[in-house]
Amino acid sequence: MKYIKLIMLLFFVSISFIACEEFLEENPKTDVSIKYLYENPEGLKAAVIGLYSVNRDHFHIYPHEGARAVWEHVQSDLVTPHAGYISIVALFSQSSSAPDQHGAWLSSFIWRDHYKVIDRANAIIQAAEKIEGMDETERQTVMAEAKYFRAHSLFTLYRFYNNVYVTEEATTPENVFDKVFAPSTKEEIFEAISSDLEEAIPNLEWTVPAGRVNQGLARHIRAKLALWEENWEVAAAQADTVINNGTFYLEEDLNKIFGHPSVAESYGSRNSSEALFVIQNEEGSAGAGPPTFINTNFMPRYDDVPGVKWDKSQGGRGFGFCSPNSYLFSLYESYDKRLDAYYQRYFYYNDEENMPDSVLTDNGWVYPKLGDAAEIVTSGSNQSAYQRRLTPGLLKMIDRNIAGEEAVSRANILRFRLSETYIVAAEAYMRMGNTGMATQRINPIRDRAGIQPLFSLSENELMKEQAREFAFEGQRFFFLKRIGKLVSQIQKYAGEDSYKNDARSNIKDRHINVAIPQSELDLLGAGYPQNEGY
Amino acid sequence: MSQKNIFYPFIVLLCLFGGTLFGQQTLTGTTTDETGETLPFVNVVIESLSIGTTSDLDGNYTFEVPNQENLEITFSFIGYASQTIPYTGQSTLNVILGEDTNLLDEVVVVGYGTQKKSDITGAVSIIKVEDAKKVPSTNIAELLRGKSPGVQVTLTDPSPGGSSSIVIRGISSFGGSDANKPLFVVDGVPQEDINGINSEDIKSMEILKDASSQAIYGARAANGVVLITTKRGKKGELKIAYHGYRSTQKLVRNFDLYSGDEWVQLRREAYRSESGRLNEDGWEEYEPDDFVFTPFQLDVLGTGKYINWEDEVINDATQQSHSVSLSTGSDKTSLFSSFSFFDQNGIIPKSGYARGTARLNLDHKVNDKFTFGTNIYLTADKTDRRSGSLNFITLPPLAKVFDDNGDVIRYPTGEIEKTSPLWNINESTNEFFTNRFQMTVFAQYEIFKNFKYKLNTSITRKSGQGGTYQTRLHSSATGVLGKATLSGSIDKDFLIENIFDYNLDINDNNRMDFTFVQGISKGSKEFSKTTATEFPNDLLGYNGIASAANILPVERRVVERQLLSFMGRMRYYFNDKYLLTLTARRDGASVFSENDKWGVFPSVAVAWKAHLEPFIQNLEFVDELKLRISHGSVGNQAIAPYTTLGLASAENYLFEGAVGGGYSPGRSLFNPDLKWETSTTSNFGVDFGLFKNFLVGNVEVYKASTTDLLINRTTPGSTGYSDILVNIGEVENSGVEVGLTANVIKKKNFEWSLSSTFSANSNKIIKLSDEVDENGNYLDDLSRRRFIGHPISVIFDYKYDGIWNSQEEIDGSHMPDSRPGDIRVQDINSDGKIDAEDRVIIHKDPDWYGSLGTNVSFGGFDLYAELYHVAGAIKYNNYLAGFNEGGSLQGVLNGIKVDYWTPENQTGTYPRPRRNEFPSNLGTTAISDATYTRLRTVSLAYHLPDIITKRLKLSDVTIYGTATNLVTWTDFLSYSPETTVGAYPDGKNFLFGIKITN
Repeated sequence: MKYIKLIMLLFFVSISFIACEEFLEENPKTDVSIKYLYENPEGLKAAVIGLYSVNRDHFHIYPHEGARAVWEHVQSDLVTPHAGYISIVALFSQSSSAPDQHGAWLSSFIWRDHYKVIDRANAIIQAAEKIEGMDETERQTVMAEAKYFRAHSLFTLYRFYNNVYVTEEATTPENVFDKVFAPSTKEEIFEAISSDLEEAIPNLEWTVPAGRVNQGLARHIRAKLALWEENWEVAAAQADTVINNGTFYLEEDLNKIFGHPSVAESYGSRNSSEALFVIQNEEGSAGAGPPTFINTNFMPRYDDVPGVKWDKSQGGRGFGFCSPNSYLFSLYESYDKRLDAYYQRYFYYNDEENMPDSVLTDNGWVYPKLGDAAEIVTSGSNQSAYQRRLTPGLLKMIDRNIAGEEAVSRANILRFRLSETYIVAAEAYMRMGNTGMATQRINPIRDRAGIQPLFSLSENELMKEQAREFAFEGQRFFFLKRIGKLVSQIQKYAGEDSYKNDARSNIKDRHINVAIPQSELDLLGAGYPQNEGY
Repeated sequence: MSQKNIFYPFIVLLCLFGGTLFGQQTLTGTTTDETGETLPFVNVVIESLSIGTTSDLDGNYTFEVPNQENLEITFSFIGYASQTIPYTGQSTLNVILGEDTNLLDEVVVVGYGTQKKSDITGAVSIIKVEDAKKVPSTNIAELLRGKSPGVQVTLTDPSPGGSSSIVIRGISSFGGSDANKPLFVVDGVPQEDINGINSEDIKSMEILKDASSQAIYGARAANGVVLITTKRGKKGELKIAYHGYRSTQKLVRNFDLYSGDEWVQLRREAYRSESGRLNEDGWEEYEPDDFVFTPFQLDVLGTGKYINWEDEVINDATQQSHSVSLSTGSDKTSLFSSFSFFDQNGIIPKSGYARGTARLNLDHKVNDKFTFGTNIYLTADKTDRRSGSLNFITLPPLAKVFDDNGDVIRYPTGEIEKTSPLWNINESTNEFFTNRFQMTVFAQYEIFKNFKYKLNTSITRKSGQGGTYQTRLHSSATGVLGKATLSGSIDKDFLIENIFDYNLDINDNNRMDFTFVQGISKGSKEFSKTTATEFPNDLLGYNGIASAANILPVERRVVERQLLSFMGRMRYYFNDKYLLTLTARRDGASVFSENDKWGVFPSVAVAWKAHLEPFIQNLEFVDELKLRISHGSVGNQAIAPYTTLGLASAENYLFEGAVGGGYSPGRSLFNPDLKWETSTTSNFGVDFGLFKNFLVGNVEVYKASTTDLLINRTTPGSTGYSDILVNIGEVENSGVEVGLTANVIKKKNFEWSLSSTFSANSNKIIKLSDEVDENGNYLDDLSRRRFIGHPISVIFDYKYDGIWNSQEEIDGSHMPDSRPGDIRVQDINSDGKIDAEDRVIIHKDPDWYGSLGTNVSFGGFDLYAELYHVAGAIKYNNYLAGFNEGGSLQGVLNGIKVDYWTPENQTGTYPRPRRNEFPSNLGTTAISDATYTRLRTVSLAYHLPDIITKRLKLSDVTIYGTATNLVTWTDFLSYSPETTVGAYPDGKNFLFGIKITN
């Protein structure tokens, strides 16, 4: 009896010893392993889709109402800042621009977002070079898409931070702390971008589902890079290839480019015939990305005005953080169609319950009725009631799918469009002295806007057209920086003459490059240089 | 089950009603102490029959003794040595009870067995559970506060059903609170948290503090071990005890918010500093009020009806608790059972916590060799969650809370960014339900003499269910027509341990015992969450999720971790004076890399009971003197499962509306080579009892060094990753702990004792990576604010040096870009400019902390009071420097009132308000001394006199009142010095309770 029990016990003990090593093995159930991702054709295709998503993560609500997504939109001569963190960025203030202040913390998101894209692209490219059993066309496409993203992010980093370095090695646990002591030279950076794009171009389709990287996009970026390289021939040739290919064409109806409230809701996707690249997002979809506040940043708080309430047909909800300034509007002819297509200049009484009986305006007392454009006194002590509330709103970012009072948006974001290819070509020809081609390229944009064609093109006129067509699309900062006019333009025009024009005095030569965040410099090799002047 | 067992409850009942079914004799007598003083309340018990009585106030007792042979009567009283006297039929029996001089010799749970306290060789703190329970709480960690040196309890979440963190002997890991959490072992079963336990069930609590005592738990013990043992049934009649209390919590603060008028002035100043128009003194002119204030604000300003948000939203909160426990047993079977109900309202409307628990601890003895038992424990709770933050007190006072109809106004400040806290409270539901089931089955069999086998098994299931609903009017759900989330989680754990015990008594002077344990355990957590929007109406709340038109992507996570262990322990007692303990544990954990799954953790400890040596015995005043030395290592496995594998998380995308399934590695780079963190501790301890145990205490000195630290290193942003977990570096903790109790007066009707704890721990980073500078010193990790030679918890910032008063001061100074009214920081290296080099390292950990408690028993009264002191702690008070916390002086939000600088108030110590600017270096003003002293507990209990309780047929009725956090002395501006303003505070608590025992 005694022994039976003993045997039973020992049996029990031995059960517990069985399969020790197997018991300690890990088998994740709700995630896939990196090994699968990079060693399996299906995994690699999923990794590329993941790369689109990583690229999209830059357009995020966090932190500071999504300020990182619109940094380059507001450091320009076309902006009146009102409030919110992004307005401080627009002011080039010490706290937003110095490498060890709060703005650098925000800027470090931009630094990290783009380097993350580069790393994930590096991993995909390295894996695609080694992968076995993958269809060759698919493999080439995967590589081409990854190379496009790598090139674009490096291009963006360079234009922001100047002192950046090229990395084509995927990060591994072994190399993660390898130190970098010096930035790459301008030539090395341009070479890396252009070779990626040129390798990608032949392997990319022209016609792809909206949102996908295509040959037109890669050539467009190649053309833009050529402007930085001052290689006007390449810029013109690449741009012309895109323009002449026919896959993309200028949208005749300006309202359809950004899905103006007056056109069908489907245009709100911004996947128009003119769109070269659109960040895709959709509320509630399994493919949805992070929410953004991009629209609310640039829409005023007209709801504060008695008698006017949030209305998606007037652009939806706004925080009134930044608005297009008077200088920008001074560039337009009064009949320029873009004024109404791109901006909500007036907000109309739509709140019957709260209609005021009478309102004092710059033109004296008025007695408004529903449907009238709201007006109030814009100057003097009343300015605070006007600014942020009835300043014009931007219609390039509106979300057609959400209610007027909702702030959080997952609308698509139009990043590059054919119209810019035209202006790139126009500039390239202008620099080459080919006035005929230069005007031929810029006039379709003007023509579409309903303004007279040009017969010659100067840099000054180019600068104005760039503003009229692309204000608040995130290109102005880079454009002015490239042509060396950033500081002078901002000194002259930023903000309003009598309101929020601190940027005019704050801006210094150093600001053409965004400071590399001190926190990032601390992590790089000793002696890695900060940009000049900081 | 035998018939006897079936009838067992009836037998118990018969006993209870004092049956006189058998023939009896009357025994009377007096109980006295050695001095001849009569001793009241002495228990007089015949244990074999489970009957007994107690002596009265004069020490007299009368006992009806049944007519049976071989009876033994036991006389016992706390603090005195029990006596058992054979009953020989006499009618009078006077007993003199001697004082129990060796109070220390209780039996203590040490993990995988028990040990006499005097035989312990490691650093083990024994908690005075009865004192601890004088502040009843569902937050078990709070019971430990101030009760043991070396154990630092910090409130982390005081909201209803909240929790506290326990740090034993300092932080040794960088893994955050989870990686520094001690291991909790309840009745031999390791658990993740202990807050589910009904404090009434707790019989004893011990804390294992040095490696030698922890080593039995090897890989999980690096942060110390908290052992909890619940009550078990005792042979005897049915004992029923009831404990109920009710309490009220009040908020107390030591700071002011700006009053309405003050805030109005602040806003005027903030606008003024940017007006650009200068008066003749060269300072800016004020802006007109209709520029400074919105029409809405002007309206309120006109009426002067300012809002104090604290009054509008915060209520006094109440708690109530009822607990009943039953204990009984026969020769073979005993049981302890308890039921409790707890209900708490939070200080924020609609927040609350309710919990019910039930326990059954059962032991059965089959024969002399075989026993088994089971513990079954069930809890069910419900949490009503509201804003976990009191951030709303920063809403401007220029506001309207209710409209003319008394309804809540949605936008009380007229701005749509600021929804009324009351509005969102009304328009939302946030409920969380937890059900927990734990069953432990254990059996013990004596295979042969002195060789026992014990099987310990346990399963735990914890299911959590959360439901939230925000109506279409809630600020987060506008435009989406209502938003619901439904989440569910299941945690499953099991444990099997085979334990062998062998006692070897070689001779009277040489005793040994051996323990061998083999165990396996596994824990898994499954979590799913569904979010939906677009509800047809708000009627059903989250339960109406089936009718939602838009179901958002579902979340799902499963993680598992496994542990395999072997442990051996040998204890050797020589002459009962010299003690030796050797322990080794080998653990394998699934979370580590394939080649590094196993770790071995050995330890050794010796102790010397010096008081048994003749030369000490000659010293009259020494009752006990024991010296202990131990050395050993333990591990920490607190990393997340799959960290070494490298996972890619879902990163889906859309192409023209069609979803593409994408994946990408997350923000942390995987590391395939992770292994155990190992802490090696040396401990020296002294236990002493002096002057007839007038002074009892212990002193511990220790040094612990943790190597192969699991450090999350920040990676350069240019790598595309944020961080990577690596095994590198070394941290050292060293410290001193003292626990002292003075039994000042010890008379039978009057006892007074004082007890205190003192702990000082010094925490130091030795090494963070293998990288060295040109002098060969290890490098700091600047990005994570980790510095060699400094503690883990630091603040790294410039040093506040006042406010610039004039342009003359600024010109030519080290901060030429400043303006009057800006913060001046110190140019630490005097190089004439402020840059990264001027930042200083400030240590946050307290220099020391301790407690002083006193117990007075007089007549039927018990008074207990406890002071708690934390010295030299530094905290960052974000309410002095955060924009969202109202610290940025921009006239947008209300906040902690400070003396800000204006041209007219140049002695101000905070910067000049500026409407559009976040003041530079404002963070330097938020670094605050969080030293505090708190009268944490005052508790007065009264035991109803015997005359009354006897008439009620009860053995004890105690009524008591406890006041918690009655007074706090601190400079830290907040509701509570352990939390910042926004956190849900622990206020003053007044509690009234009653305990009844039959």
